[in-house]
Amino acid sequence: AQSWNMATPYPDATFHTQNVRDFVADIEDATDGALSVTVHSAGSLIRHPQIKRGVRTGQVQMGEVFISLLGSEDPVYAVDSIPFLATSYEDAERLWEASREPIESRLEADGLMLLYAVPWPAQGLYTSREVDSVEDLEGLRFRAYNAATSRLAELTGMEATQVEVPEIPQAFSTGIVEAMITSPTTGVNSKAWDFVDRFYDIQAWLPKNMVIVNREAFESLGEAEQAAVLEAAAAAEERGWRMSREEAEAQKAALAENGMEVVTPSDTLREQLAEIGRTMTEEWLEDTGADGEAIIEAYRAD
Amino acid sequence: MSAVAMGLILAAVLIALLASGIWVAVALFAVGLFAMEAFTTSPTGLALGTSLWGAIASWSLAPLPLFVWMGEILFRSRLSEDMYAGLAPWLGRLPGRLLHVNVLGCGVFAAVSGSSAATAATIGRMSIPQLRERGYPDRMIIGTLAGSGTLGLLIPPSIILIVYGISAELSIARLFIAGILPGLMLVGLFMGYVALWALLHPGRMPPAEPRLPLGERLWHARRLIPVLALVVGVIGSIYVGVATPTEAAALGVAGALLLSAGTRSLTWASFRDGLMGATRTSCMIVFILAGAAFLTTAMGYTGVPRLLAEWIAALDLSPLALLAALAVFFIVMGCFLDGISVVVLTTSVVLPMVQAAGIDLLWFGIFLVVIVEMAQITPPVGFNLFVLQGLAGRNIFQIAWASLPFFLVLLLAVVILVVFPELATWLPDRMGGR
Amino acid sequence: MRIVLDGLYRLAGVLAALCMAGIALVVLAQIAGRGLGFRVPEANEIAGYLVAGSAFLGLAPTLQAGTHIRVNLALQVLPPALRRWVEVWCLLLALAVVGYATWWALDLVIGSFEFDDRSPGELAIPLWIPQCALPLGLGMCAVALLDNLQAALRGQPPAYVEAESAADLPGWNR
Ligand code: NA
Ligand code: NA
Repeated sequence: AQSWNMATPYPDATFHTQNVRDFVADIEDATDGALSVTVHSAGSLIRHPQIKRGVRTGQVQMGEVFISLLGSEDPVYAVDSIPFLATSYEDAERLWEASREPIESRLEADGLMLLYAVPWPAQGLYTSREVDSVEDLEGLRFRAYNAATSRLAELTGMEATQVEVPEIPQAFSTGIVEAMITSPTTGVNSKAWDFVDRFYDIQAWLPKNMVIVNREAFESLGEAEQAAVLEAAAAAEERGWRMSREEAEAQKAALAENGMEVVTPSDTLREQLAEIGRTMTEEWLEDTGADGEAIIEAYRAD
Repeated sequence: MSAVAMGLILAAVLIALLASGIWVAVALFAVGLFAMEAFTTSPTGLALGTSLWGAIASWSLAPLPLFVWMGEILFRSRLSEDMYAGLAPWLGRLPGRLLHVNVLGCGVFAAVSGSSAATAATIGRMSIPQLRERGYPDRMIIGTLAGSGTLGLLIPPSIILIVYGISAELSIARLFIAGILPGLMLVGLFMGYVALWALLHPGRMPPAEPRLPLGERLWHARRLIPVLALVVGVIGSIYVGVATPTEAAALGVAGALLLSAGTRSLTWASFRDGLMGATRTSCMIVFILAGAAFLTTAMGYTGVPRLLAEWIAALDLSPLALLAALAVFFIVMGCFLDGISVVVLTTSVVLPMVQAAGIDLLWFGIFLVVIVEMAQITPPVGFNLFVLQGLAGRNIFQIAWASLPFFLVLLLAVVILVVFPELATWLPDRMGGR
Repeated sequence: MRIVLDGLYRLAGVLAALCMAGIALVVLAQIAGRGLGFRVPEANEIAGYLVAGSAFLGLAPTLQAGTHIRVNLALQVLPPALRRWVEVWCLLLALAVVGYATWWALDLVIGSFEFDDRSPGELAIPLWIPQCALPLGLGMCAVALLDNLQAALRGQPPAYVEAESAADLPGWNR
């Protein structure tokens, strides 16, 4: 019997972590305990930025990572975080089909194997200001946390400012930030209604978490166990996408229930943002070259 | 091997290493390495490398060195002397006199800093030399600093409340508000203990300073203005949105430099000595933090804290008995691990059982933080003890002994919190929304 | 030799202090930028890297100054002859731990270089650069431990011991 460790970045109540726990339970059931996995959630064993490295070097056998966190390593990983490229679950699914193989091959080169990926609900805009067009965003202090969000701020005339997750509530209450783009899940978890009035459902992008395994560890398993892991992974991917869709509706409802105004963006705003999306897609293509072209072509061909 | 047996072996190794004179940080690393090698199959060296970098190269640690530096600057300027000279005439009638400045100073500083080590280090740097010079008993100087330094955790902003709030999916704002009344209560209890001690031991207090008429007292109070302006400026910068709580420390450094330049006590020599002193002190603290972080990683691999918490969960206790069991568990774990680590390692197991027992998670967060405050002053691993050992030049047993009454006061606060849960829940319930 | 070693510790101390001042400068620049409308890219990441730089580069001078704390109660009551051997034990264990940490910190840096690990923001700083502070600082600390070990073996008090006893002040429980 083998016992593995798995590092995940998000706390237990997050649906991604719940899905991971179900995934692990499936493995343990199917292998009759021949493979047991201890889940170390909330970055308690390895912090998020080091999880991929941790799996790669065998400190843990499995891990969960926010895919576009790896964007500074290789821009292809950032494809699911290009603003306004894929803005619905259907789009996101197609984009994932188009990008899965290149991402897998990159992981493979690092001695890693992709098991499954699950999206966060579509990212929305949190701000107290009334926003009908991109012009209304002008000058807003916007929370940027990576290269793409900084660029987005630049293109929309917002002032990017860096605020880490724990300080978001205080930063909003004191005016250090006035707007952020994140999922309804994160909004509910951080009780966004304490500090901001409106949620614009702009469906900016649907970033994903992926679960990866160290290839050597995987190959050290018996054939039956390997099959059990892959089967549980396929089930987790399907379950995760369903959970994500349910989560999107439930959490938007929760935002409204707690007194936030959940706003459907105006047509003007939507069109202007889509235009910015085209610009950022072009810029991403410049960074990624032929690999990027192939992904976008496959995505648009469907 | 059972989790209890593993835990006992590791505790024994740690105590033996510390007792033989090994540096605290080295002992923590050594026990972590021993735990990984003896009880896990995971790659020890790689885990060490990841932990060294991941735990220390962190934005959230930045305020600690900066606040230590601010303390060094103030200590080297005339400002700290001025502050005590300005306060002394006002506290003449209060039993305990300037000792209360430690409690109140930590309480006020706790509103700027989210860490208990930074609170004890910054206030202690200024207060220890001043109070020693005035003849206050070392034991009470150190005890008040160790005890009230822990307020940094409870009075917002607080790193540990943020960590807990994210795990428990609670509003950070409401948790912060919930910490206010219990924090004020603790300030009151600490001051009450100081006053009581001073009444019972009048011979160990320094002779009273001459009583001054009101006018003269007011005239002395002018010397408080620079430091007050600094404190108000730093706290204010957070609440008017100039700086985040993490950034406020940098304003504190800049303000302290400006003030000491303004009072002509800033020279190149004092600047250099302050910076070097701060670098060494914060290096000492951060290296211990690194050791504690690696030990936490090792504990994550061995699963000892998680298994012990699961064992408590399996007992199926009544809510009150569960709280008592958890309190004992966290106090014992807190002797050996840093308090935040204990919370991080066990929330997956502890939160569901607390929820199942019908205990309010918001209240439980405050309960937990007061217990974690105790962990800061229990030997052998207590961060406030280490900070004060560095500042006061006393050995850790003397410091732990001086802190014992304050540990008991914290225990009393836990009991009060259980009897009157409204202390934590009343204010947040007054907030709008849900 | 003495001059070289003391110079090394002093240099490490200066570098650590520069990192410390750097933390303040980066954070202040970030605050100023918010008011004046410019932005320091990846300020939070850089501040974190400087925290690590300051802490690890400061290890050796902090050791020499006797600032790393320990429970030296037993040491102080031991007869001098025995005390020397307890110091040797402390130094040997510390050397083993710090040496091991140096080795794996070096492995971390080499791995980051080979894997081309980068910071998550727009600067995409290669992580091996700030990570160099770990093996450098730990390595200099190992040198300082060796330095003190040879002193202890020759029957001289290690540098940190003098500093430690100078910090002990009278007046307890007066
Ligand atoms: Na605080
Ligand atoms: Na403790």
